[in-house]
Amino acid sequence: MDKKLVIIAVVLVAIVIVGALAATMMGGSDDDKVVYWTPIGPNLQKEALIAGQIDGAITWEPFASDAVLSGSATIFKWSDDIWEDHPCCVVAVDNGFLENNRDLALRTLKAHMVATEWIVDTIADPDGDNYTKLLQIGAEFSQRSTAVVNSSVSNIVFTYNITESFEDWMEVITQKYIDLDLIQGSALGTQGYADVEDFVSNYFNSSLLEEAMDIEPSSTILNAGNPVQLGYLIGDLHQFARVIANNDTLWGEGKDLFEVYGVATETSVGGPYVNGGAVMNAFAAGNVDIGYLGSPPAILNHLNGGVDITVIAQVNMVGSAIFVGEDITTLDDFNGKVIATPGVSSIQHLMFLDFFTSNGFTVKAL
Amino acid sequence: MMLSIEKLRKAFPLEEGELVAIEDFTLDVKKGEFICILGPSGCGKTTILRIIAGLDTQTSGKISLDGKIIKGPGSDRGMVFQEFALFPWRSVRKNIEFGMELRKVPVKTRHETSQKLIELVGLEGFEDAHPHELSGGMKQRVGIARALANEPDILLMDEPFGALDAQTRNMMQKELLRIWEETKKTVVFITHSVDEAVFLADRIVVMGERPSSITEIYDIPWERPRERASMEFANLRKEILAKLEMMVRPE
Amino acid sequence: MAMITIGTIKRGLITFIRPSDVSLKTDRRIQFVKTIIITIFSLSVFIGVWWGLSLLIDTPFLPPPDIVFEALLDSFIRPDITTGRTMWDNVVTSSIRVAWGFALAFVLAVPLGLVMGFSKTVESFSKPVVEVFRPIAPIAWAPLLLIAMGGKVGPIIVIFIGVFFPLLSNIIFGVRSIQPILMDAARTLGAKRGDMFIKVIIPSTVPYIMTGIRIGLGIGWMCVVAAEFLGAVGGGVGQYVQFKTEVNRFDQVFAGLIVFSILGLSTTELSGWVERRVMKRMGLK
Repeated sequence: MDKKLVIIAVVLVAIVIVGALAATMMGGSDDDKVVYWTPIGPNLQKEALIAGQIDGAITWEPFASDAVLSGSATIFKWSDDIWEDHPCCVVAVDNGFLENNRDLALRTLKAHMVATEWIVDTIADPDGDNYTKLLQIGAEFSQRSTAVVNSSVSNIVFTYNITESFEDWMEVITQKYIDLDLIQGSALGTQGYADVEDFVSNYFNSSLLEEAMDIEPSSTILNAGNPVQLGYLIGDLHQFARVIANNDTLWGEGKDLFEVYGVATETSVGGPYVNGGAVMNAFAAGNVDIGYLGSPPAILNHLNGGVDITVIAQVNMVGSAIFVGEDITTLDDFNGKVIATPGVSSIQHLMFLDFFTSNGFTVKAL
Repeated sequence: MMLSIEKLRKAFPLEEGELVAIEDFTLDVKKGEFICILGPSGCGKTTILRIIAGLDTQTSGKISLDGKIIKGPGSDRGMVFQEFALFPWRSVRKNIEFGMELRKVPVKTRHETSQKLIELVGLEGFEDAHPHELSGGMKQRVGIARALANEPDILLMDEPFGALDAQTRNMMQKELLRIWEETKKTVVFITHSVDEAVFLADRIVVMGERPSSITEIYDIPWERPRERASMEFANLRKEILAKLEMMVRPE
Repeated sequence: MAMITIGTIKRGLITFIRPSDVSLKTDRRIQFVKTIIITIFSLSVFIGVWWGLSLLIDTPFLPPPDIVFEALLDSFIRPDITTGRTMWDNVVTSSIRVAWGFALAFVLAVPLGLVMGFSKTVESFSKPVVEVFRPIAPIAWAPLLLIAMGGKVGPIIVIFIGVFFPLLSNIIFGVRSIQPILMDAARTLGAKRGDMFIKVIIPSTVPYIMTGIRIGLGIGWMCVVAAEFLGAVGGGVGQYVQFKTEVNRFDQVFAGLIVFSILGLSTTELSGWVERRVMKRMGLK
């Protein structure tokens, strides 16, 4: 009986080991071209590349410029070369908040508009005093050098208008999500939209921009003690307008621009976030009133998760990039390599999926 | 004379002083003799048997088997337990062969011996059964066969039929006598049943309450099988019972 | 259980007859059918309640069963875009992790547990160490181990930790639970320390080892989820659930949860079956 016991034990262990080995072997069967991805926050991607954990990353500014200027990476492709003139981040508002605090939402939006215009004007005059200030503010916010910020802002287009071409892009992105089965085909109907066009025209609402146009500064804070919860991403210079509007050295009287328009704000619980999906989850959890995030996650988690928000302004266009280490120079070099993305629900991830699947790669999670 | 117990004393240390379980126990057992040690529960009769088996050690005194001082357990003494103590994962045959396995007896001899013992205790057909499939009486048959398998000089039996129902116990007593007569083993048999002792023993050693020593020894030279309904049986039983009752002090 | 009746007396020996167990078999069959029917009924009620609830609450967080079932089937048929793998690939990956972690724990815990239960010296030496590590939830190790040992080995070590301690405790407890009388019996039959270990301690600990295995495997499946959430490399059902939660594909999240349920259930059922087989072979049940 003792022998039988030993045999049973040995056989059990042997089965486990042989099974494991066999399965490991089977896993080695090769697809034609595979690129692996792993989620890493943009602020940590450069270090991951240097540490050899990844071979490249798709990221937002200033982290693309940062990786390049630090000498540890080169740009493989700017997002503008993948999706020409693509929109990127947007401002979204919680529908419940909008219903009860429409005035506050409009005033916050107005500050966003003014800050965006200030950035556009400042960048147009790189020799002006404001430009130095812009670089310093950007450097402080992103924890990167002014040289990195200088490079970054030249790669981003700052704008707040919801235009027809923006809406066309949103239809394209929504359709891409559906085609990739990241959004269920039935989700549009479930969320009460007839089709993609109907969804885009309802979800992206330009009327608030028009309403906010005429808002004047307020001498008093209208929501003192109950600040608007602002959600935004970690060190993302796409959302520079929020940083500028939050700065209290530019607008006099020690007020930031939101306060100039009578709105007290603070960073929402859990923020700043690692990607747009996290902002959407914070919206869903009721932690964010107004949020800055990529338009694709705003679409994705609204249609899939029913997160009840409306997009009320654009923030920026282009300004993302794929940077790579020295092992990669051509597209074929990506075979078998590991690329970091900010996470599955980010515009960069969608762009990554779109770019590599349309170039004949199989995309796998690491 | 084969088993000799001389001035055996067993005491357990307490916080203050000690608890004396056995005091001045002296007994000689002849070869082939069937001895019953009889006493009220808690009198230390099991302790004596465990010391003989080498499972416990005495505080003082000397025990020798054929002149050899006993130190620790050995295959010259076979033990049968009240709780049977069979290895549940072993079949009847494997239980019986346990001691032989330890002694590295060749497989063939082992099988022959266990087969003989299975026949001796009447367990043909149950060689491959496991203990949980057996009744209490059958379990103790295995226990006896297992103890005999080591060919011990002496069989130590600790209330072996105490866990059995009355009918089975009576049957097992007869079976034991048959086995004893066939194997001619010396037996030291612990019991608290006067009836059992009178039915089985050549000599009955009656022990008193703690600290126990021998109160009385009865010789029973009667023929076997003994008739329980007989007058002399009843009389001796009564006498021993009276003796025991006298010893049990009211609490 | 004593199912033996005393039969005829012949030649002075008593022979025994096993009772026929024909009627027992029929009883068992009826009981089995009954259990099946009740199980089906219970699951139907559950799915019905789920369906009703999902219609009533109407939230994406609780998709109706038909949608989830569709997502479940689909996940096995083709690789999904976020992970690039089919559910089958993920099941294999997760299973291999659990198997490795478990095998490692088994190989170490069984001898250590037996020796710790048997030898007071070894026990007093290892007990403080074991006691210091035991209260730490295996999941608490996951973030550290995933960085320190990487996404391939890290999860296996997390599972190892999860399985090791319950297995070890069970084995030590098993050794301690051996009836002293069995040791006495072995000693009177001539067993020395080594014989005792191999011929008494090990076999009588087998039921406890088997229970440890069953419990350990259950815990292994919980640990693999945590490890895969935190960044295991090479896929896995946990990773699937993690990414699908991020993109709010709750139908697929539920599909992943169902897969976990099936995996955990079938592993414990399987080990339960092996347990029963071994116990029966050893005559312990």
